[in-house]
Amino acid sequence: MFAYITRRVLATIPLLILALYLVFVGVSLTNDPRSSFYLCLPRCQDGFDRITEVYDLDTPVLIRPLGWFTDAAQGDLGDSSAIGEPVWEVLRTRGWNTAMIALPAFAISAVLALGLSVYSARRQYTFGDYFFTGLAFLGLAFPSFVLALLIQNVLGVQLENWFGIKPFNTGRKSGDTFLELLRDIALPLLTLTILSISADSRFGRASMLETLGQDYIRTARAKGLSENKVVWKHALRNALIPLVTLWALSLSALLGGSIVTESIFSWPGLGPAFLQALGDTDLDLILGIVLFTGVLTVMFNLVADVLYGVLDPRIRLG
Amino acid sequence: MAETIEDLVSPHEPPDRIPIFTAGEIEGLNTTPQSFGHLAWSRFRRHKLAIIGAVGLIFIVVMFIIGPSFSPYGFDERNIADRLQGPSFDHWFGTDEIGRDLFVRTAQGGRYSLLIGFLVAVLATFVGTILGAIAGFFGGWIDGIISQMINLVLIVPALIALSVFSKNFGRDAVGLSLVLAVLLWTRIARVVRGLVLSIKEQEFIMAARAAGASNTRIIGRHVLPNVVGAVAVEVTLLLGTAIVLESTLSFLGLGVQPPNASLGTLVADAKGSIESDPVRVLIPGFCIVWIVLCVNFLGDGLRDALDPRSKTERG
Repeated sequence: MFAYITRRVLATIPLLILALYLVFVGVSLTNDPRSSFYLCLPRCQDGFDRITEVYDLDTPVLIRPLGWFTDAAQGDLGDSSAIGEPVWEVLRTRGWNTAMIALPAFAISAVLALGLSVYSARRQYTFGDYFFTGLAFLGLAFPSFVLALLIQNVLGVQLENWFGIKPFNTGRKSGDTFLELLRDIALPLLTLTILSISADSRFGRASMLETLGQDYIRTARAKGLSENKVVWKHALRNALIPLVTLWALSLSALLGGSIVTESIFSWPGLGPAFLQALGDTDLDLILGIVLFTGVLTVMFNLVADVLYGVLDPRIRLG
Repeated sequence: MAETIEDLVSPHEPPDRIPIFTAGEIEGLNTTPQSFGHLAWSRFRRHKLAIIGAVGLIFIVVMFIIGPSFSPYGFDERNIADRLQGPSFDHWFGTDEIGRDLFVRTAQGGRYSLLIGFLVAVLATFVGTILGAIAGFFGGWIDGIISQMINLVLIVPALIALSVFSKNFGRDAVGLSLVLAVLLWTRIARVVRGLVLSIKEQEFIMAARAAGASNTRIIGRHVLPNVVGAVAVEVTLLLGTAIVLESTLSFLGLGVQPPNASLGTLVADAKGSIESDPVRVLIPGFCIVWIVLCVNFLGDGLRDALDPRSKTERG
């Protein structure tokens, strides 16, 4: 197991490097920081040369990323020109803000979705199943921006006494007290939870139904086990396998910053920072965020694959 | 209450005739065998949600296609005098800041969104299923390469890929669909790979191998039919995801570019006036919700219809 994890981590390093390299080259090819200088060229030669030097533009584009990699290997991710802070600092503060809504959203939706999918699968085609499946369908059909705009407009604006007048646009740092913090994160948290709970519970229901139809479940029932034991002890393990993949993906996506939800609620997380970096072509910040989200994705996928083996010993890791 | 054995066996038959079942009838052997396609169609037809989804989808597609011909206004026709009107008899969905008719724009945008979603779903499913099945079945270095490709796509954020690709591909429907498909095939590939990993360890695969079936035959005849149900659900989720992702990108200004419009663009246009005129956000927003909802209903019906193990009757 330890050897497997070590090998996987080592195998992902070239992958991350390849991804960062592609992003660097791709962004460099489509954006020229000197574009505004060409028109005034003879007069502003100084500025032109300075930009060339800062961005290392005399080096061919295919080997230009080497400079960034050399710095990054020594722990220097550069400075963000869009935000005006070192990239590390941006990642730390923004990442923490994102985690404040991402982690609770994930935990709440994972637990609720698991409960809902077991409930729906056990009572297939009853009123309760139809009700929750209908809700999940509806939640799944809402794009994040429509849901966020709706929640913001209804709960944040029309019912402004509930959450204060647009609490997220005041620029106030997240709450001095726990209650204030709770009020601040409530609406983005609600949005993210609704979005992920719908996907999880629909997938979980399908997977649970599939498992409950297997022969070994009939065997377990035939030998007289209580239904609770059949479901929670025998079926759950196998039904969890597809869900684990989904959870790994959604957790890394949530922690990497939800661009739309955070932007609409003006939550100072990684999502808006990424949009800003993309808009200003802030290459260092883009690469920093790609590195961060890339490490997250790879890490949670590894966890998912290890959990596969734990849940179903027939799947051999190797 | 059942009093006699006759009541138990057939409550509606006259009591003087006790039905005798042959072994064949009890085992269901006497029914004429139906092809898989037949069974799937009859199961699908009886699936209420699926029918609702199909009807709803056809309805909105027809509205999007023939709707604008009932309206005297053009897609890009400006009429400053009539700007920012609410829904009325003349302008069913109202007008925007420069007096364009929102009903016509919604229909046009909806068509664009549907077209992109459909292209993406077909492309991504095709690539994802094949690569996922190959990776899961053969394992080893093939699995290694395909998994690394999946991981690579997962690492590179969609927005970067789009902003880079859009320079070379342009931002028309086909270019946008290609980029979205390249980003979205991985999910289906991962799901298929995971399923195939556990299917290939099961006994019937060993039996097929012992009977001398080739790898192609095992994958095509024994493995893939077992993932069809999951793939059908994934395809519809994918079609929904593609439409949602496209509209999200257009909402952020990174997807469909003017003069074209998609539903996401329309929401973005209306966002500024949400407090005074929420209806303008809600109409294109609910069009997306409607489409995705119907598509997902369809997928649910397909899942039940295409699962080779589900019986003719529900239960």
